[in-house]
Amino acid sequence: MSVTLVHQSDETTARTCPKRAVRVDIAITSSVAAGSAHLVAAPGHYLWWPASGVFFVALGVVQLAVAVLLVFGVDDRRFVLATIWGTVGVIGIYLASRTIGLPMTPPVPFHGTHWVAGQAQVPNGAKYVGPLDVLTLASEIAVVGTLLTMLPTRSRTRTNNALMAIGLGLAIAGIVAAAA
Amino acid sequence: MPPTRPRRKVAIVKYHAYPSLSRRDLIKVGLFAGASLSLPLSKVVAGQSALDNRMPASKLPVPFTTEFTIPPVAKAVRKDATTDYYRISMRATPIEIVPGFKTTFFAYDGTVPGPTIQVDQGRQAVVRHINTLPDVHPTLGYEPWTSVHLHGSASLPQFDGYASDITHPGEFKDYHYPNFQPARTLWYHDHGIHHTAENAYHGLLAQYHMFDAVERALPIPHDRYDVPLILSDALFNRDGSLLFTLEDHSGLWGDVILVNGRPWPVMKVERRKYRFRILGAAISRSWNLSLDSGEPMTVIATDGGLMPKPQPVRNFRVGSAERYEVIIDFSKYPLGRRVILQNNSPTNNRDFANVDKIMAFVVDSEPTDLSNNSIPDVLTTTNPVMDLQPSQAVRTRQFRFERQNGEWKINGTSWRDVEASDFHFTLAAPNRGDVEIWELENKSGGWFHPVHIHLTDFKVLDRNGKPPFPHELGPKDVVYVGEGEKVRVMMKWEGRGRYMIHCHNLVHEDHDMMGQFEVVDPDGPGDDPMGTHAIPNSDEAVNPL
Repeated sequence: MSVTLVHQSDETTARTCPKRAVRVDIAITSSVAAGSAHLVAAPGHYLWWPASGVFFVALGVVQLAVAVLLVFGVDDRRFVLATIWGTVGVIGIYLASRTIGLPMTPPVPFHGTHWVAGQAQVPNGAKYVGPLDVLTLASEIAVVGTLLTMLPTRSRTRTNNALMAIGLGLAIAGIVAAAA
Repeated sequence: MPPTRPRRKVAIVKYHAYPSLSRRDLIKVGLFAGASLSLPLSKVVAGQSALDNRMPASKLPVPFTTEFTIPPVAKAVRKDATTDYYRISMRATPIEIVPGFKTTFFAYDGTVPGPTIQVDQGRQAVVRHINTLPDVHPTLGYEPWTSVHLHGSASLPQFDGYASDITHPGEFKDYHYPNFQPARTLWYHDHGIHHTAENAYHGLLAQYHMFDAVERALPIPHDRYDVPLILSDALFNRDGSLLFTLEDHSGLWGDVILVNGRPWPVMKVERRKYRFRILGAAISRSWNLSLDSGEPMTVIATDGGLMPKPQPVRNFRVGSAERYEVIIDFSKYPLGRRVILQNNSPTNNRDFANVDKIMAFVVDSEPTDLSNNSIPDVLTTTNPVMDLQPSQAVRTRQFRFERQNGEWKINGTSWRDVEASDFHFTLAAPNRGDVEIWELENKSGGWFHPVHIHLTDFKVLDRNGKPPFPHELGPKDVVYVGEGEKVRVMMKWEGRGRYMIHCHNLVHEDHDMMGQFEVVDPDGPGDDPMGTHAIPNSDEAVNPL
């Protein structure tokens, strides 16, 4: 981690502390937004499936913690990479829940058949995509995008190439699904 | 040198000088961002693109060019001393609505709306509903399971069309109806879990008329002057099939207005009074009805039967599932005059070019029969629910109808909670015999909710503290809870067991603005609403009606 310890007066510290880059501010704000949204949505998910409620709380707390670490200037490469890929994973879970469904979610039995709750509001339809969903997703994408700038060049290129490949894969999957 | 003062260690931040993303970097991460955002949003956009496939307006029927028809009356297959027996088959049926196109509907006995069942108070009815629908809907891809609700009947729980008590294609179920309540306009329609909107939209609905001595003795129009008007709407794809889109679970609003299954029909009438049994049967649309002549109509009955006094109105609002019996006096018009029943859409409907028109009446001839051609000042004094007073209420309950994070809920719960509890979770458990006041609240400005409480008739006490509208001054089982409205209704609980309460915007109901309550009887529990199962059609021979 790149936290630097120096010996100087508080006044000097206040004078010389470098200003945060705007994009770090964006990363902090976006992480707070995403974390808060997950905490807000947690009770509703808990009612449906307690495990998902716990997951939402844990995710919200982690995203708020990321924001706090960024405020304190933590910009270690491993931390940044872990945050990027963790966030990409969360985005992936969300996309799956709104498209193909999550296989691990509990079935809700009724009268001889079953409806895979969480996969869809109706057996053959998509789950609702609401304003909070879009806000959270956009915030998480912003976290990924801004954290990319905190990586050294080589690591940034590798990560970005991987993201591009994922993006291409999602686009192709979307086109194929739409065509079908 | 002077001694140096020990300095406090202070942790400060040091940010690397991060280079900005290059243009190439931006393109790469942009691809990821774009794909991630567009995948879920494409589901929302899909609703719009579905409308893009809508039949062009130029090909839709022209208003007032189609002849008015009345649904057939169902014939009992047999009768005994106490009961009439009916056998009704649900099947896919091609019907021409848009000229030149055959549209596949789901029809009770091959007609849309289905056949009207007519019964006398005191005679029970058993209706065998046979699901011979396809295993999978040909375009929507769902299994058209059904559950038939006789709306307005205090049926036992297992015959009330409990949403999760479904009959699969290839099965039948016998529904027993007690018919002890006062005369009224009921209707039967599908109530199958998660697919009520699709099934009703495809035609699984019909009226059911119950008569009694009080109603028959009134000098109001009867028989051929007593006419059902079932109002609905539909969208059509370019290939003539029904277009079904949910607008993000907000609702479904059609661009073709149907009356008794016919688009903007014309009815020839005599110069006398007619009684119309108006049913708001659209999936989501509500209506504000008036005559283009500006003349008043007289409302004589509501969902639960006759009002105490007739109510003349120049216009009135009708939500999904509400029924109003209305008398229109055509003796005021000269022969040849065309009178249009028009619709001034209430807030939060989706409007298209001709949805402001419903049907036309053409005053075609002098009356051939002037009996039963008046409206008495008093219609009934015997409907117990209208005699209830707030002072009798032992309890007031609150019900909030709202959308939370995209999900339709009642008091923060939905039918999912009922399913998850193995169908035991209830929103309320009133005691049999108790009089209660229920406050139904819709804080939203974006939606209206026609709220249906099963099993019971109720009296509308007030709306936002003001008296109910004149047309609501009769026994009801659905009440329009408009934007920002709090409506208080009062009822006396009879019967026992678990029954549903839900929004009758069927898209809201399906997703999942529905809960249940249980009427508790100290003498014992009610019947299980899931306790009488459907039977395979192949076993019908060994289960004669």
